[in-house]
Amino acid sequence: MRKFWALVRLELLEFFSKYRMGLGTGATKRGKGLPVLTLLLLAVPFINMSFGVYQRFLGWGRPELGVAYMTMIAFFLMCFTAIPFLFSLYLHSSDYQFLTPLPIPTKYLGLAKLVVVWLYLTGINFVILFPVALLVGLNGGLMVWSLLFSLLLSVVTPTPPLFLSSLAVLGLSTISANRNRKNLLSLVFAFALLGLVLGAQLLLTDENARRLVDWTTRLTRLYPPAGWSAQIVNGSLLGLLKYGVLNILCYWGLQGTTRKLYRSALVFSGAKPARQHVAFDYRPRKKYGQLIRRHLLIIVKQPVFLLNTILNLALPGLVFLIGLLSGDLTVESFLIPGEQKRLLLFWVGLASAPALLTNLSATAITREGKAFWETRVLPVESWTNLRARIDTTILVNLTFSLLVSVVLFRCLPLEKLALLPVLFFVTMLTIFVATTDLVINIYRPYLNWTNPAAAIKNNLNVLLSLAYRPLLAVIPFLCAVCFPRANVYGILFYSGLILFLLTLLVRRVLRTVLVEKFDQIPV
Amino acid sequence: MLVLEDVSKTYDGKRMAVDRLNLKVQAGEIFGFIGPNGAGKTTTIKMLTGLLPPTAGRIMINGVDLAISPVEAKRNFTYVPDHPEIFTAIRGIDYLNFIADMHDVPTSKRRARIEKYTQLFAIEDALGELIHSYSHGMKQKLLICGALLPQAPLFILDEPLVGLDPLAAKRLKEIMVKHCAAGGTVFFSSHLLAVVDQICDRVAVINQGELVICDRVERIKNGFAQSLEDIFLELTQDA
Repeated sequence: MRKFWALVRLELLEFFSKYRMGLGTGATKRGKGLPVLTLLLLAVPFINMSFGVYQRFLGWGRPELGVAYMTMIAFFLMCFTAIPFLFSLYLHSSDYQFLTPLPIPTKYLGLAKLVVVWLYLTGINFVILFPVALLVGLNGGLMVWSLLFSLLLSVVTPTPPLFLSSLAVLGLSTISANRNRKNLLSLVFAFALLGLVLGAQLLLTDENARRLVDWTTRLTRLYPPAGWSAQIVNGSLLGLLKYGVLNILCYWGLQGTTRKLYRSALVFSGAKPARQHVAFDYRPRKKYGQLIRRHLLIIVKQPVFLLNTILNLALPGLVFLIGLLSGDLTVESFLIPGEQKRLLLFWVGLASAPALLTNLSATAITREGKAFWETRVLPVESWTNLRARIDTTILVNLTFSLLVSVVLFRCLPLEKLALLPVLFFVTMLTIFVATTDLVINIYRPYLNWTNPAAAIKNNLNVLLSLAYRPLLAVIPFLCAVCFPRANVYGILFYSGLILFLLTLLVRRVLRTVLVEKFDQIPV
Repeated sequence: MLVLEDVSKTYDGKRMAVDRLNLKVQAGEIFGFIGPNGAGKTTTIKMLTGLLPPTAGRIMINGVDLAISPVEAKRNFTYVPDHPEIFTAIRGIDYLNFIADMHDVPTSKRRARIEKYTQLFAIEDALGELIHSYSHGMKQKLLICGALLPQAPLFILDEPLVGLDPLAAKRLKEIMVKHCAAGGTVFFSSHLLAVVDQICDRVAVINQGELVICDRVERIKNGFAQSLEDIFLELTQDA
């Protein structure tokens, strides 16, 4: 068993070191503390959610159903987390190359990886299921015992979803052997996870009370462990026993599935897909179009870049949608008579959000990483090389802004007259920000990253680009001061004009001065 | 074809990575550039390709000053680096089409050349796959195919034989010889002195950023009456 625990330790060390690398922190004391801090910060909204569920179900007079509800939410959440995690750990892991020749029983190799996933899922349970279970137990008068039962519940619930996830991974293993499809699956599960967390919150309204109690009762019959969870927090040893038996059965099952996953991993790592001769397209494309295509592909083909971009673009819209669905926001709240301005500003805010929240230009050079040299040796003007990066950002952000603008224009009672100044302002803002952000990346190119997350998240480029954005509010303010008779459309128009002039200035600096700095970026 | 006039490079303002390097490479020549690790070979090649600006001096490629008309100068050469670090999330064919578009290779010639070179290096069946599924050697072969595709007059190759199988290495050497026989030029660095000895017309030895010797291979050998390997060790160890 000593070998087994040494393997577990190795897997855990690898997991934490990858997590740290994702955050872009080193192995210093502070670097080690930061991941813990981020995990704690991430836990806060989930603990809040758990408290919210308890309060709602208590209010409806069925607190124990809150535990069943959260057991099911946790079940799906653990499945959506475990499936991509198992893909990475088993089917796309490179450590088999040095672990397989070691004198270790094969089943240890598979099970050691499983311990990491199980610990991760138990951690999720502790922030989602544990708080509600503890509160329900305390409410039921179990007092100190509720702590023990809640702890036991958090420990026994991850095994069934883990077993089912391993079966799903086995079923999907032929699809996910292709790294691109695996990345796509990870993306799908990340969105499913987001949808689940949002959906679980949105359903919890007093209007839904009866329906939710009915659904939970019905689903508990379909997934009996949810019912056992409710029994355990009320001190039922029978519920705990049932869970114990289920855990043993799942453990046996997991021994079989992990063995098969390990064998599949060895086959995939040694096998090469059959090569097919396909007809290729040799038609020439325009140079500039090819450069834009390259930068778009760098975003689209790297799942970390793609997910980050989509989340940044979609976040304001999602927040608005959640507000509307949860009832915290209503369209009527924007329609106070004589307050058309509020609606207009809200429109401008949402349409400008893609430009303000995404920093694609601030990492346009960094994203290329070690492949940055490629375009530098080609017969392309340096300014063209830079312009392609700016225009890629404009293309992405403006497409999304225009989409948001048109949807809001169709959905909200806005004046037709407003369309032109709003679109003008949003377009100028997008172009200005896309141009200015690139200046930051020219001064701070970071090309030697190994983890793509380090290229776009938590780095100083992104922070700097976000830091100057609040200052842009000065422009409309100055316009309002300088043109006191101008209405809101006039202020938007003048602000857009100032942004246009500022863009010309920044472009001139880029073209004349910074292009040389770009040429000097060491490769 | 390639002229370096007093080219120097310093990274910290104190130590010279390359110190007043003067070289003239004629059209039709295979020019070997050798030196121990850290001698300044890759720095020199990076300056030739525009990846690093020289601290001082002038680089002319086919009569075009690289600092004044970089785009015009870059039309005259293609480059294979010492590491196959390229954008790997695209297919091999997409990479070659990208290079062909950037060098204005016409459609009529593009297909034939891609087929010719990829068959020669036995990667034609892998062109439809993503580059990140390629082995180190396959990536190197793809880079070489990309460099051959535009048929630029000058090939600049930094350690091009590293990672290639013997057959691919032989074919690359044949291409280099043929290219020069047709009036083209090859400037390449290598640690494989036997290869340098075998195919180069002239050789330059660089050590600690300074040019130690530059002459025809046979003349260098005559002067020392030793193998190129012994001469190399003698020239670079004393410095």
